[in-house]
Amino acid sequence: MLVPFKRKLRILLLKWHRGLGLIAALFAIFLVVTGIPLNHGNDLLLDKTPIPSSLLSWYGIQVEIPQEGFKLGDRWTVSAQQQLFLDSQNIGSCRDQLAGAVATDEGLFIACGRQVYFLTNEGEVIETAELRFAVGSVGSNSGNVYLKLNKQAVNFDLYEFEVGEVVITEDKIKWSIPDFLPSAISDAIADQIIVEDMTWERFLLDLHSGRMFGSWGVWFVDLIGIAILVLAVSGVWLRLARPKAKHH
Amino acid sequence: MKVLLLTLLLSFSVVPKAAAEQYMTQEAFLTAAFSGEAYKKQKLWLNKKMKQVAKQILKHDYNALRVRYWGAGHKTAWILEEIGKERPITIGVAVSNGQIDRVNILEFRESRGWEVRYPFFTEQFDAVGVDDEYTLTKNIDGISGATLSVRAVKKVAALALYLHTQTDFANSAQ
Repeated sequence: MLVPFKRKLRILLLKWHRGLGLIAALFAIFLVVTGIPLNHGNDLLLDKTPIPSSLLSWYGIQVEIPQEGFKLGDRWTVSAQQQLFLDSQNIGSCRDQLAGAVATDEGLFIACGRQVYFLTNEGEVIETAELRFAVGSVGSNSGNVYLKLNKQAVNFDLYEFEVGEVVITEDKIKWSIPDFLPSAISDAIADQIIVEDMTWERFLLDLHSGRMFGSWGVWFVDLIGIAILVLAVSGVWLRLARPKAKHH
Repeated sequence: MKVLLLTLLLSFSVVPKAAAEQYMTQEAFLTAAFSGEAYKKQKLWLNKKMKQVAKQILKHDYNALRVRYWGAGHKTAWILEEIGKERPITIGVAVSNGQIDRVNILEFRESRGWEVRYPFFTEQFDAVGVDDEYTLTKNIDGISGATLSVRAVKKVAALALYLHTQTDFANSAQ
Protein backbone atom coordinates (compact mmCIF):
# COMPACT_ATOMS: atom_id res chain seq x y z
CA MET A 1 0.00 0.00 0.00
CA LEU A 2 2.88 2.29 0.89
CA VAL A 3 4.78 1.65 -2.32
CA PRO A 4 2.02 2.74 -4.75
CA PHE A 5 1.50 5.87 -2.66
CA LYS A 6 5.19 6.68 -2.88
CA ARG A 7 5.10 6.01 -6.60
CA LYS A 8 2.05 8.23 -7.08
CA LEU A 9 3.69 10.98 -5.08
CA ARG A 10 6.82 10.66 -7.12
CA ILE A 11 4.91 10.94 -10.41
CA LEU A 12 2.95 13.93 -9.09
CA LEU A 13 6.11 15.63 -7.87
CA LEU A 14 7.83 14.97 -11.18
CA LYS A 15 4.94 16.64 -13.02
CA TRP A 16 5.00 19.64 -10.72
CA HIS A 17 8.77 19.77 -10.79
CA ARG A 18 8.79 19.99 -14.58
CA GLY A 19 6.00 22.59 -14.75
CA LEU A 20 7.42 24.74 -12.01
CA GLY A 21 10.89 24.30 -13.47
CA LEU A 22 9.78 25.81 -16.78
CA ILE A 23 8.18 28.84 -15.12
CA ALA A 24 11.10 29.29 -12.72
CA ALA A 25 13.60 28.95 -15.58
CA LEU A 26 11.92 31.76 -17.51
CA PHE A 27 11.88 33.90 -14.41
CA ALA A 28 15.48 32.99 -13.54
CA ILE A 29 16.52 34.40 -16.93
CA PHE A 30 14.65 37.60 -16.12
CA LEU A 31 16.32 37.82 -12.68
CA VAL A 32 19.77 37.23 -14.18
CA VAL A 33 19.23 39.81 -16.95
CA THR A 34 18.16 42.46 -14.42
CA GLY A 35 20.39 41.31 -11.54
CA ILE A 36 23.83 41.20 -13.17
CA PRO A 37 23.72 44.85 -14.37
CA LEU A 38 22.49 45.85 -10.89
CA ASN A 39 25.48 44.12 -9.32
CA HIS A 40 27.76 46.30 -11.44
CA GLY A 41 25.58 49.39 -11.24
CA ASN A 42 28.35 51.71 -10.09
CA ASP A 43 30.79 50.65 -12.81
CA LEU A 44 28.09 50.89 -15.47
CA LEU A 45 27.03 54.31 -14.06
CA LEU A 46 23.47 53.01 -13.77
CA ASP A 47 23.03 55.00 -10.57
CA LYS A 48 23.91 58.21 -12.40
CA THR A 49 22.18 57.63 -15.73
CA PRO A 50 18.57 58.79 -15.77
CA ILE A 51 15.95 56.85 -17.70
CA PRO A 52 14.55 58.53 -20.82
CA SER A 53 11.35 60.56 -20.58
CA SER A 54 9.46 57.82 -22.46
CA LEU A 55 9.86 55.47 -19.46
CA LEU A 56 8.75 58.04 -16.87
CA SER A 57 5.09 57.30 -17.65
CA TRP A 58 5.65 53.80 -16.17
CA TYR A 59 5.89 55.59 -12.84
CA GLY A 60 2.90 57.80 -13.53
CA ILE A 61 5.17 60.83 -13.88
CA GLN A 62 3.81 63.30 -16.38
CA VAL A 63 6.54 65.45 -17.84
CA GLU A 64 5.56 69.10 -18.00
CA ILE A 65 6.32 70.40 -21.45
CA PRO A 66 7.90 73.88 -21.31
CA GLN A 67 5.95 76.66 -22.99
CA GLU A 68 8.30 79.63 -22.60
CA GLY A 69 11.98 80.32 -23.06
CA PHE A 70 14.50 83.02 -23.91
CA LYS A 71 15.50 83.61 -27.50
CA LEU A 72 19.22 83.77 -28.23
CA GLY A 73 19.60 84.73 -31.89
CA ASP A 74 18.11 81.78 -33.74
CA ARG A 75 18.32 79.52 -30.68
CA TRP A 76 16.30 79.14 -27.51
CA THR A 77 17.23 78.48 -23.92
CA VAL A 78 14.66 76.79 -21.72
CA SER A 79 14.47 75.40 -18.20
CA ALA A 80 12.53 72.19 -17.69
CA GLN A 81 12.53 69.67 -14.82
CA GLN A 82 15.50 71.47 -13.21
CA GLN A 83 17.54 71.14 -16.38
CA LEU A 84 18.83 73.83 -18.69
CA PHE A 85 18.51 73.42 -22.43
CA LEU A 86 19.89 75.22 -25.44
CA ASP A 87 17.33 74.17 -28.05
CA SER A 88 17.10 70.46 -27.23
CA GLN A 89 20.69 70.19 -25.95
CA ASN A 90 20.95 69.63 -22.19
CA ILE A 91 23.70 71.94 -20.97
CA GLY A 92 23.43 71.73 -17.20
CA SER A 93 21.19 72.02 -14.20
CA CYS A 94 18.76 74.82 -13.49
CA ARG A 95 17.34 74.27 -10.00
CA ASP A 96 15.83 77.74 -9.70
CA GLN A 97 13.94 79.94 -12.06
CA LEU A 98 15.53 80.76 -15.40
CA ALA A 99 16.17 84.48 -14.95
CA GLY A 100 17.21 85.46 -18.44
CA ALA A 101 19.68 85.05 -21.27
CA VAL A 102 21.51 87.24 -23.74
CA ALA A 103 23.67 86.63 -26.81
CA THR A 104 26.90 88.64 -27.03
CA ASP A 105 29.69 88.72 -29.61
CA GLU A 106 31.73 86.47 -27.33
CA GLY A 107 29.08 83.89 -26.58
CA LEU A 108 25.80 83.18 -24.84
CA PHE A 109 25.13 84.17 -21.25
CA ILE A 110 22.38 82.49 -19.22
CA ALA A 111 21.37 82.96 -15.57
CA CYS A 112 19.38 80.51 -13.55
CA GLY A 113 18.89 81.43 -9.91
CA ARG A 114 22.41 81.93 -8.50
CA GLN A 115 23.99 79.90 -11.30
CA VAL A 116 25.35 81.66 -14.38
CA TYR A 117 26.50 80.01 -17.59
CA PHE A 118 28.71 81.36 -20.34
CA LEU A 119 28.61 79.30 -23.55
CA THR A 120 30.10 79.38 -26.98
CA ASN A 121 27.59 80.02 -29.77
CA GLU A 122 27.74 76.28 -30.44
CA GLY A 123 26.55 75.53 -26.91
CA GLU A 124 29.82 74.40 -25.32
CA VAL A 125 30.14 75.60 -21.74
CA ILE A 126 33.05 78.05 -21.34
CA GLU A 127 32.54 78.73 -17.67
CA THR A 128 29.94 78.54 -14.94
CA ALA A 129 29.79 80.22 -11.56
CA GLU A 130 27.51 80.39 -8.59
CA LEU A 131 26.84 83.96 -7.48
CA ARG A 132 26.12 85.07 -3.94
CA PHE A 133 22.61 86.24 -4.85
CA ALA A 134 19.96 84.95 -7.22
CA VAL A 135 19.80 86.77 -10.53
CA GLY A 136 16.52 88.57 -11.17
CA SER A 137 17.05 89.43 -14.79
CA VAL A 138 19.73 89.48 -17.52
CA GLY A 139 20.26 92.31 -19.97
CA SER A 140 22.79 93.60 -22.45
CA ASN A 141 24.00 96.82 -23.99
CA SER A 142 26.79 97.24 -26.57
CA GLY A 143 28.10 93.73 -25.94
CA ASN A 144 28.18 94.12 -22.15
CA VAL A 145 26.17 91.87 -19.85
CA TYR A 146 24.11 93.25 -16.97
CA LEU A 147 22.33 91.47 -14.14
CA LYS A 148 19.60 92.47 -11.75
CA LEU A 149 20.78 91.45 -8.28
CA ASN A 150 18.67 92.47 -5.32
CA LYS A 151 16.75 94.80 -7.66
CA GLN A 152 19.99 96.62 -8.52
CA ALA A 153 21.52 96.55 -11.98
CA VAL A 154 25.16 95.48 -12.01
CA ASN A 155 27.68 94.91 -14.73
CA PHE A 156 28.96 91.34 -15.21
CA ASP A 157 32.52 90.96 -16.46
CA LEU A 158 32.62 88.01 -18.86
CA TYR A 159 36.42 87.99 -18.87
CA GLU A 160 36.95 87.91 -15.10
CA PHE A 161 33.61 86.17 -14.72
CA GLU A 162 32.52 88.17 -11.75
CA VAL A 163 30.03 90.82 -10.78
CA GLY A 164 31.25 94.34 -11.49
CA GLU A 165 30.00 97.78 -10.60
CA VAL A 166 26.48 98.90 -9.87
CA VAL A 167 24.88 100.65 -12.84
CA ILE A 168 23.24 103.96 -12.07
CA THR A 169 21.37 104.51 -15.34
CA GLU A 170 19.60 101.48 -16.72
CA ASP A 171 17.88 103.20 -19.65
CA LYS A 172 20.08 101.71 -22.34
CA ILE A 173 20.08 98.18 -20.99
CA LYS A 174 17.84 95.81 -22.90
CA TRP A 175 16.55 93.25 -20.41
CA SER A 176 15.75 89.83 -21.79
CA ILE A 177 12.13 88.72 -21.54
CA PRO A 178 10.67 85.23 -22.03
CA ASP A 179 8.70 84.38 -25.12
CA PHE A 180 6.49 81.49 -26.26
CA LEU A 181 8.48 78.56 -27.57
CA PRO A 182 7.95 77.24 -31.08
CA SER A 183 6.25 73.84 -30.81
CA ALA A 184 9.15 72.11 -32.58
CA ILE A 185 11.50 73.21 -29.78
CA SER A 186 9.15 72.33 -26.90
CA ASP A 187 8.47 68.89 -28.42
CA ALA A 188 12.19 68.25 -28.88
CA ILE A 189 12.88 69.26 -25.27
CA ALA A 190 10.04 67.06 -23.96
CA ASP A 191 11.88 64.04 -25.43
CA GLN A 192 15.09 65.04 -23.64
CA ILE A 193 13.65 65.70 -20.19
CA ILE A 194 14.94 63.45 -17.46
CA VAL A 195 14.19 63.19 -13.76
CA GLU A 196 17.49 62.96 -11.88
CA ASP A 197 16.26 60.55 -9.21
CA MET A 198 14.85 58.18 -11.80
CA THR A 199 17.96 56.31 -12.81
CA TRP A 200 18.45 53.02 -14.66
CA GLU A 201 19.54 51.50 -11.33
CA ARG A 202 16.16 52.31 -9.82
CA PHE A 203 14.31 51.13 -12.92
CA LEU A 204 16.14 47.77 -12.97
CA LEU A 205 15.76 47.37 -9.21
CA ASP A 206 12.01 47.95 -9.48
CA LEU A 207 11.81 45.43 -12.33
CA HIS A 208 14.00 42.93 -10.45
CA SER A 209 11.91 43.11 -7.28
CA GLY A 210 8.57 43.24 -9.09
CA ARG A 211 7.84 46.62 -7.50
CA MET A 212 7.41 48.09 -10.95
CA PHE A 213 4.10 46.20 -11.20
CA GLY A 214 2.77 47.31 -7.84
CA SER A 215 2.20 45.18 -4.74
CA TRP A 216 1.03 42.27 -6.94
CA GLY A 217 4.40 42.30 -8.64
CA VAL A 218 6.18 41.99 -5.31
CA TRP A 219 3.90 39.07 -4.30
CA PHE A 220 4.51 37.44 -7.66
CA VAL A 221 8.27 37.62 -7.16
CA ASP A 222 7.78 36.13 -3.67
CA LEU A 223 5.74 33.29 -5.20
CA ILE A 224 8.48 32.61 -7.73
CA GLY A 225 10.94 32.52 -4.84
CA ILE A 226 8.76 29.95 -3.07
CA ALA A 227 8.47 27.99 -6.33
CA ILE A 228 12.26 27.85 -6.55
CA LEU A 229 12.35 26.61 -2.95
CA VAL A 230 9.78 23.90 -3.79
CA LEU A 231 11.87 22.96 -6.83
CA ALA A 232 14.97 22.63 -4.71
CA VAL A 233 13.23 20.47 -2.08
CA SER A 234 11.35 18.32 -4.59
CA GLY A 235 14.51 17.95 -6.69
CA VAL A 236 16.48 16.67 -3.72
CA TRP A 237 13.66 14.34 -2.69
CA LEU A 238 13.23 12.96 -6.22
CA ARG A 239 16.96 12.35 -6.43
CA LEU A 240 17.14 10.61 -3.06
CA ALA A 241 13.95 8.59 -3.50
CA ARG A 242 14.86 7.42 -7.00
CA PRO A 243 13.80 3.77 -7.45
CA LYS A 244 16.70 1.39 -7.40
CA ALA A 245 17.53 -0.21 -10.74
CA LYS A 246 16.40 -3.80 -10.97
CA HIS A 247 19.15 -6.32 -11.61
CA HIS A 248 18.28 -9.31 -13.74
CA MET B 1 -2.25 51.19 -11.62
CA LYS B 2 -0.30 54.40 -12.29
CA VAL B 3 -1.52 55.92 -9.04
CA LEU B 4 -0.45 52.77 -7.23
CA LEU B 5 2.96 52.85 -8.88
CA LEU B 6 3.40 56.53 -8.06
CA THR B 7 2.41 55.90 -4.44
CA LEU B 8 4.89 53.06 -4.25
CA LEU B 9 7.55 55.16 -5.90
CA LEU B 10 7.04 58.02 -3.49
CA SER B 11 7.03 55.71 -0.51
CA PHE B 12 10.45 54.46 -1.51
CA SER B 13 11.88 57.76 -2.68
CA VAL B 14 11.29 60.13 0.20
CA VAL B 15 14.86 60.84 1.16
CA PRO B 16 15.38 63.90 3.33
CA LYS B 17 17.35 66.42 1.35
CA ALA B 18 19.78 68.41 3.41
CA ALA B 19 19.97 72.07 2.61
CA ALA B 20 23.26 73.28 1.19
CA GLU B 21 25.64 73.87 4.03
CA GLN B 22 28.63 76.14 3.71
CA TYR B 23 31.52 75.06 5.88
CA MET B 24 34.11 77.51 4.61
CA THR B 25 33.99 80.63 2.46
CA GLN B 26 36.13 81.01 -0.63
CA GLU B 27 38.05 83.84 1.03
CA ALA B 28 38.76 81.80 4.16
CA PHE B 29 39.99 78.88 2.07
CA LEU B 30 42.30 81.06 -0.03
CA THR B 31 43.69 82.83 3.03
CA ALA B 32 44.44 79.46 4.60
CA ALA B 33 45.81 78.03 1.35
CA PHE B 34 48.28 80.88 0.82
CA SER B 35 48.99 81.38 4.53
CA GLY B 36 48.10 85.06 4.26
CA GLU B 37 50.41 85.63 1.25
CA ALA B 38 49.15 87.74 -1.66
CA TYR B 39 47.63 85.63 -4.43
CA LYS B 40 46.21 86.40 -7.82
CA LYS B 41 43.13 85.09 -9.60
CA GLN B 42 44.08 83.19 -12.76
CA LYS B 43 42.34 81.28 -15.50
CA LEU B 44 43.31 78.17 -17.39
CA TRP B 45 41.87 77.39 -20.80
CA LEU B 46 41.46 73.68 -21.34
CA ASN B 47 42.60 72.34 -24.69
CA LYS B 48 41.45 69.04 -26.17
CA LYS B 49 44.22 67.01 -24.50
CA MET B 50 43.53 68.58 -21.11
CA LYS B 51 39.81 67.88 -21.44
CA GLN B 52 40.63 64.25 -22.28
CA VAL B 53 42.78 63.89 -19.16
CA ALA B 54 40.08 65.61 -17.07
CA LYS B 55 37.59 63.10 -18.43
CA GLN B 56 39.94 60.23 -17.59
CA ILE B 57 40.20 61.48 -13.99
CA LEU B 58 36.55 62.38 -13.46
CA LYS B 59 35.12 59.46 -15.48
CA HIS B 60 32.89 61.98 -17.23
CA ASP B 61 33.35 65.13 -19.31
CA TYR B 62 34.56 68.25 -17.57
CA ASN B 63 31.81 70.68 -18.48
CA ALA B 64 33.81 73.89 -19.05
CA LEU B 65 36.53 75.30 -21.27
CA ARG B 66 37.87 77.76 -18.74
CA VAL B 67 38.84 77.05 -15.12
CA ARG B 68 39.50 79.68 -12.46
CA TYR B 69 42.25 79.24 -9.94
CA TRP B 70 44.46 81.31 -7.71
CA GLY B 71 48.23 81.31 -7.72
CA ALA B 72 51.26 82.69 -5.93
CA GLY B 73 54.88 81.55 -6.13
CA HIS B 74 54.87 77.81 -6.69
CA LYS B 75 51.43 77.29 -5.25
CA THR B 76 47.96 77.11 -6.80
CA ALA B 77 44.52 76.82 -5.23
CA TRP B 78 41.49 75.38 -6.96
CA ILE B 79 37.84 75.50 -6.08
CA LEU B 80 36.10 72.79 -8.06
CA GLU B 81 32.74 71.09 -7.93
CA GLU B 82 31.92 67.43 -8.34
CA ILE B 83 28.65 65.60 -7.85
CA GLY B 84 28.71 62.94 -5.13
CA LYS B 85 25.38 61.27 -5.74
CA GLU B 86 23.02 63.97 -6.88
CA ARG B 87 24.30 67.39 -5.98
CA PRO B 88 27.65 69.13 -6.39
CA ILE B 89 30.16 69.30 -3.56
CA THR B 90 32.35 72.42 -3.61
CA ILE B 91 35.90 71.36 -2.84
CA GLY B 92 38.97 73.51 -2.33
CA VAL B 93 42.38 72.00 -3.12
CA ALA B 94 45.71 73.79 -2.63
CA VAL B 95 48.68 72.36 -4.52
CA SER B 96 52.33 73.07 -4.05
CA ASN B 97 55.30 71.43 -5.80
CA GLY B 98 53.03 68.80 -7.34
CA GLN B 99 51.65 67.74 -3.97
CA ILE B 100 48.51 68.59 -2.11
CA ASP B 101 48.88 71.18 0.63
CA ARG B 102 45.35 71.06 1.87
CA VAL B 103 41.85 69.90 0.97
CA ASN B 104 38.76 71.58 2.38
CA ILE B 105 35.08 71.00 1.75
CA LEU B 106 33.61 74.44 1.20
CA GLU B 107 29.99 73.56 0.54
CA PHE B 108 28.06 70.31 0.78
CA ARG B 109 24.60 69.88 -0.71
CA GLU B 110 23.97 66.13 -0.53
CA SER B 111 21.83 64.49 2.16
CA ARG B 112 24.54 61.95 3.03
CA GLY B 113 28.30 61.77 3.06
CA TRP B 114 29.03 65.10 4.78
CA GLU B 115 31.63 63.32 6.95
CA VAL B 116 34.15 64.04 4.18
CA ARG B 117 34.48 67.55 5.60
CA TYR B 118 36.21 66.36 8.77
CA PRO B 119 40.01 66.69 9.08
CA PHE B 120 40.40 62.93 9.79
CA PHE B 121 39.42 62.46 6.15
CA THR B 122 40.80 65.57 4.40
CA GLU B 123 44.20 65.37 6.13
CA GLN B 124 44.81 62.06 4.37
CA PHE B 125 45.41 64.08 1.20
CA ASP B 126 48.36 66.02 2.66
CA ALA B 127 51.51 65.63 0.53
CA VAL B 128 49.73 63.32 -1.92
CA GLY B 129 50.59 63.55 -5.63
CA VAL B 130 49.48 61.77 -8.80
CA ASP B 131 51.30 59.14 -10.87
CA ASP B 132 51.51 58.97 -14.67
CA GLU B 133 48.00 57.52 -14.80
CA TYR B 134 46.68 60.51 -12.79
CA THR B 135 45.92 58.25 -9.84
CA LEU B 136 46.61 59.50 -6.31
CA THR B 137 49.94 58.21 -5.01
CA LYS B 138 48.50 57.29 -1.63
CA ASN B 139 45.57 55.11 -0.69
CA ILE B 140 42.81 57.22 0.83
CA ASP B 141 40.69 55.41 3.42
CA GLY B 142 36.97 55.59 2.70
CA ILE B 143 34.11 56.36 5.06
CA SER B 144 31.24 53.91 5.27
CA GLY B 145 28.02 55.52 4.11
CA ALA B 146 29.94 58.23 2.25
CA THR B 147 31.41 56.21 -0.63
CA LEU B 148 30.24 58.54 -3.38
CA SER B 149 31.34 61.71 -1.58
CA VAL B 150 34.76 60.15 -0.88
CA ARG B 151 35.05 59.23 -4.55
CA ALA B 152 34.12 62.80 -5.58
CA VAL B 153 36.79 64.34 -3.30
CA LYS B 154 39.45 61.92 -4.58
CA LYS B 155 38.59 62.75 -8.19
CA VAL B 156 38.73 66.49 -7.57
CA ALA B 157 42.06 66.14 -5.72
CA ALA B 158 43.55 64.26 -8.69
CA LEU B 159 42.13 66.82 -11.13
CA ALA B 160 43.56 69.77 -9.19
CA LEU B 161 46.98 68.05 -9.12
CA TYR B 162 46.83 67.57 -12.89
CA LEU B 163 45.59 71.10 -13.61
CA HIS B 164 48.39 72.48 -11.41
CA THR B 165 50.94 70.88 -13.77
CA GLN B 166 49.38 72.80 -16.65
CA THR B 167 49.98 76.20 -15.05
CA ASP B 168 53.06 78.42 -15.01
CA PHE B 169 53.11 78.09 -11.22
CA ALA B 170 54.13 74.44 -11.47
CA ASN B 171 57.55 75.42 -12.74
CA SER B 172 58.00 78.72 -11.02
CA ALA B 173 61.07 79.25 -8.81
CA GLN B 174 60.45 78.86 -5.11
